[in-house]
Amino acid sequence: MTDGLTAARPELPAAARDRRDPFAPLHENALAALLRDPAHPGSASVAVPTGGAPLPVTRYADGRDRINLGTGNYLGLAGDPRLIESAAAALRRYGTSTSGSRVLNGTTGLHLQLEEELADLYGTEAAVLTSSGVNANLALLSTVCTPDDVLLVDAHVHASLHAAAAASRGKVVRWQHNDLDSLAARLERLDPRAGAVVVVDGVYSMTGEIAPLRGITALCAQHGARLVVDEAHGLGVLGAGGRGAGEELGVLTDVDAVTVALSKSLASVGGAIMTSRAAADGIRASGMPYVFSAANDPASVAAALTALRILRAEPERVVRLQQNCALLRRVLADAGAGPIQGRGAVVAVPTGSEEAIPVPPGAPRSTPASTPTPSPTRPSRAAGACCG
Amino acid sequence: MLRLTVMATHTEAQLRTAGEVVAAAVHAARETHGEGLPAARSVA
Ligand SMILES: Cc1ncc(COP(=O)(O)O)c(C=O)c1O
Repeated sequence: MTDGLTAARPELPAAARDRRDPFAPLHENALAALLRDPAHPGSASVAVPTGGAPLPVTRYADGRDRINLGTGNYLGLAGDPRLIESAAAALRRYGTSTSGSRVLNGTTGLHLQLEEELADLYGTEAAVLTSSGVNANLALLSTVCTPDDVLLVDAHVHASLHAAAAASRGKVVRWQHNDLDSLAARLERLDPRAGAVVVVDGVYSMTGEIAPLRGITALCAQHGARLVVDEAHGLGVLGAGGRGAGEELGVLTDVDAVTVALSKSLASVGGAIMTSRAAADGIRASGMPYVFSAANDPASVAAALTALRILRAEPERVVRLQQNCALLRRVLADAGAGPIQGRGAVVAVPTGSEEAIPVPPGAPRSTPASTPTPSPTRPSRAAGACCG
Repeated sequence: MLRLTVMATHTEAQLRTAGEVVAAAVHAARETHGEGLPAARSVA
């Protein structure tokens, strides 16, 4: 299989013999090396593909059923017949691919409808769809700021926000995770004419902690800063209407732009930015992932649209999710493995180790699926541990 | 850190089983590595 392309470089000419291999960070990646070892705990569940939808008990391709504790399918809609039917209908009508970006014949009526209903959910003038949550963050942050402006980024935001901020023309300043004093100190030091954007996750993706948004919105108001909140793990999870941490804490109207991923509660794939009409128009005109990347495929737009309607029509799903989160947190705490404080559907249990941990011998056949993953908030660390 | 996620459609029995299996694994890991976090940072 690898006959034509291998990691080895051909013999270099004498003049280039001292050149470092720029692919070395890939070839020597520590997590990759760990996962290559089939004896390493967790590597099996990385290697075993799922054999069905990400349901509470998921069938894996090795024929085993495992309790799935690592899916973003928070509302359980990924196997819902209504989503499957709407995706199938979209496939039949629009085909498998948009085969072009939103500005190159890639826009269907479904894209426009989903944007309208997402904007309605968040009470914003507009919503811009992107092909992933990563691309929503990139489309937004890469198009804000001049070189004299500043993005103030919580140190633990999702990797895509760090990367998106780095792609912005503005200067990136990190502040200590969820620490209002740290944010305030950095806001106070700003040049009074510099534009400022505060960037946070509503719910932190590795720990389920929520951002102290009341304090953050107060600081933004005091210093004239704009606020961007990534609600990838808040949508469908927090707030009476499932809008996320901003709704839960009653500050949604103080947020300048909300980004979401459609791959979690909405059981699809894609992302969106909810913001003002003027900002949305700017993203549509200049956001690289919007202008230059193929538009979301029609089936996943249809699935997300159906999921969004179910979220709004069946708020009891959100209530049930919150009850289940509280139950798992309680069970873990009662068993002496209390998770760190959080309110999201992500529950993080300190293990005292950076290593993935094995499921103990003799565990029931329906064991939780466990997968080591790099932390998206600390891209440079070798390995976190993750169930999934 | 062990990261778990919860679904609205998990049953109580599934979450109890999972919680107990995970807690046992966490205890085993703490015994091996001997650096569990103080109880004050653990909350329900
Ligand atoms: C906070 C956060 N933002 C964005 C994303 C990216 O979403 P997507 O998978 O749709 O690119 C994720 C994905 O896990 C996330 O956790």
